[in-house]
Formats: sequence, structure tokens, C-alpha cells
Amino acid sequence: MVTDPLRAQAGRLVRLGRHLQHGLWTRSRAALFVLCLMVGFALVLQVRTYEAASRQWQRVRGIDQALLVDELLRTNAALRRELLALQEVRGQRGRAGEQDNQALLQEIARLRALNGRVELLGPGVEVEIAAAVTPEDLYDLFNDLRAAGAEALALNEHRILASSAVAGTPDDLRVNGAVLSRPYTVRAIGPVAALERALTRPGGMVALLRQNYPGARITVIRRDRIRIPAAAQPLRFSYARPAE
Amino acid sequence: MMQWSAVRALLSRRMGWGSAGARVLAACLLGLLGFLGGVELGHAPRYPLSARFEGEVTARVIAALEAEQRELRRSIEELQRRTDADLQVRAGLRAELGRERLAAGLVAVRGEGVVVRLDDSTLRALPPNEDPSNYLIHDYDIRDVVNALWAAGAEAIAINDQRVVAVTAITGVGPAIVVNETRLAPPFEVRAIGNAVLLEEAAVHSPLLRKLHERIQTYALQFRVVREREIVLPPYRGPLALRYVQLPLPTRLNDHGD
Repeated sequence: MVTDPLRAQAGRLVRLGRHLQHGLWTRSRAALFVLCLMVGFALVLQVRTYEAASRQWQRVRGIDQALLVDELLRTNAALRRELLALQEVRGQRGRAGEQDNQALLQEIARLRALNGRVELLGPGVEVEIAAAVTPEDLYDLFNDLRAAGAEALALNEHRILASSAVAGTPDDLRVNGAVLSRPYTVRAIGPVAALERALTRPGGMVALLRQNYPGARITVIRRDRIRIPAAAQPLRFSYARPAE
Repeated sequence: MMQWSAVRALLSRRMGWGSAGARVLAACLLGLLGFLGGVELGHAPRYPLSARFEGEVTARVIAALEAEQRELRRSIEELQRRTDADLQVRAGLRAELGRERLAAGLVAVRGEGVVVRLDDSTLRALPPNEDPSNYLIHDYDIRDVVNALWAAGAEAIAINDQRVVAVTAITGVGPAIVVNETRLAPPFEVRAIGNAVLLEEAAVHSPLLRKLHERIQTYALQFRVVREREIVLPPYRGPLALRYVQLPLPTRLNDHGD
């Protein structure tokens, strides 16, 4: 559609050229001719370039948008799958995980109690000994209480754990490195009747102590509520390490 | 457009137009060019209305999809953060449980220490009027050794294959010794992990074992202490149920007491 006007224009220009050749030619008119030619071509060129460029731009933009939408759809679908998978896993593990955590917490609480990390309460017996007994006597007393089912032990205000040694001499008894003052009070949480019977039976610790320390005041009292303090220092291993 | 004004300027200033025919010609030429240009510009492509509408719709779709993607990514991130937090809590609980199990003697342990071996007397012919029980190793002998080793800083102790824990009782039934409700027969090996030098010193010289050493001398009981670079002690395998202790409320995390 551009070529027809172009051709017509060219034809006119040729005719104009011939006319000019017949004597009307001047320097300024020749310049005008060239100028008009250039203007015409420039215009057409410009229009065509603009047209081509705008068509090109439109196509590229359309393709880009289609690609972008496609990519977004695909990415979002993948993300939605990922989200669903995560939610499913959490849903499945959620309840079991909660129960797991609860079981772990309970087991930890039980072991913390056994390891002397916390103060404990419970029924039990209280033994008061107003005599200069030996360390071995007290260790034997703990042993008898453990054999009778004691779950937690204390001597005066000191928690007695597995590793709590009774050391020193009758006049300078020490437990866990701390000096003890008399009378000694041993507390045990456990089955009250069994604990009391173990101590007061014929040949039991009470009888033995009364025999070894004549005139010593030794009492065993049942209690509904015994308080056993937490250990002063947490267990800490410097030599022992897990072997599993 | 600039070119038009340039042409006009050129025509009026530089050219001395004498001929009326030339003026007419120039006018026609310019008119034609103007017409041409107008035609060309009139045909200049415009974004068709439908295409513009399509473009707008597409742009909105893209914006919506991008918004959805942001939301999805945010949800996934949040979920992963929560899952990670859960796993961290679980890992923390397991680590704490591991520490408590180790402290409670529920885990096998290894380390340097000593082995104290005790056995009944080597004397086979007892003097008359002697109490034969003097020639045997008793539960209280084992207890005294265990107490002396704890006092010397032992961190873990086992008697034969029975680990000594908070609820362990060492009792005697006839010639047998019962530890953790398990009957043990001589020879008895008390194995302790800790500073081997201190533990050996305690086993041999502790005042807590004075009476035992006297009996060892008098009745030829067998007693031997060996230092070891590495001892492995088994875990406690008995019951640990707490039925009388009222447990405090479940403990907070990060409250390890150390």
C-alpha cells in the first residue's frame, strides 16, 4: 500500500526533472528537488520503521506474558504441592509428636527426680539418730531403706543419691563432702509400712544401733508427707563417658 | 515534523522564487508530501482495543498469580519454621533425656578406673571354734568398698554385672550377695570409673575399709586392686518406677540445672 503512492511520487518527480531540464533549472531549485526527495524518503522510512517496530514489540510482549503466566502457574502448582505435603507430614506427626514430647517430658521428669535435680514430696519415714554412729552404720541404714523400696533419701538437709558416700569418723561425719551435725535425721520416701518394718524388725538397723550405742535415742516416725531436698550439685562426669 | 518547518524556512529565506509556476509546484509537492505523511501516519498501527483489553486481563492474572505465589511461599516458610522449631524442641528433649539417663546409670559407660576383686578365704581348714562366716566375703564388705569408692570420687560403679544406681540395695542371702535383686556369686568384682590413682588409694588405704583390711589379714580373704586404663560398665536394667514420689509439675525446657 506504500509502494503505489511512492511510485506515483517518483513519476511526478521524474516529470518535474524533465521540465526543469528545459530551462527552469537553477541551483536553488535543484536543492529544493533534492530536499523534497530526501524528505519524502525519510518520511516513508520513518513510518515503516515505526510500524515494524511496534508490530515486533507487540509480539514479543505477548509471548513474554504467556511465558510468565505459564511459569507462574507451574511454580504455584509446585509450591501448593509442597505446602500440602508439609501440612500432611505435620498432621501425621503432629499428634504423634505431641504424644512423643509428652512421653519424653514424663521420662525426663522421672529421671530428674531420681537424679536429685528437684525437691520431692511423698509419704515415708523419718529416722532420728542421736548417737555418734559410724559412716558404715549410716550407709547400711540407707541400704536397708533402699532394699525396702525407698525411692528417695535424704540425710539431714542433704539429698542422698547413688554416689553419695558417707565418710569421715563418728565425730566428724561427712556426706557429699559436707560436715553433718547430730542428731542425724534420715528421711525416705517410699512404702511407709515396709520402710518402718525393715528398720524396726528384730535384727534390723534400729535394734542393731541400739545394741551398738546403748542409751542412744533412735526414733522412727511415719509421715504422710516427707520433703526430700534437691541435690546441691548436679552430677557431672569427668572420667565416665557413654559407651554406647 | 521538524523537517517541515525546516523546509519552509529554507524556501522562504534562501530561495529567490521568481516564477509563480515554481511556487505552485513547490506547494503541490509539499502538499503531496504532507498528504503522504498524513496517510502514512494515519495508518500507523495502534494497539487494537481487544488486544489492549487482553493485555490488561493478562496483567491482572499475572499480578494475582504473583500474589498467590508470595502467599504460598510465606505459608511454606512459616510451616517449615514451625516444623524446625518442633524438631528443635524434640532434639532438645532427647538430648536432655540422654543426659539424665547417663546420670541415672541407664547408659553403659567407659573410662579409667579400678577393679577391686574380693573372694572368700583361701584357708580351707578352719581353726576350731571359729565362726566360718568370718572367712567369707559379706554384703557389708561390698557396701564398704562401694561407699569408699564413692567417697574417693567414683563416677560409676558396678558389682559384677550389676550397676549401682540410686535404688540399688546390696544385701546378703546366705553365702550369696544380692544386688539389684540379682544373686551374685563370688568372686565379687567391684569396678569403678573415676580417677584411677585416687580410687586405688581409697581401696587400699581408706579408713572406711580399715575393718575389712583387718579381716583380710586375719582370715586370708582374697583382695586385689587393679588399675585399668579403660573399664566398661553395663547400664542398670532393673525397674525404676516411682510410685510414692510425687513428681513436681513437668519441667520447663532449658532448665537443666547445670
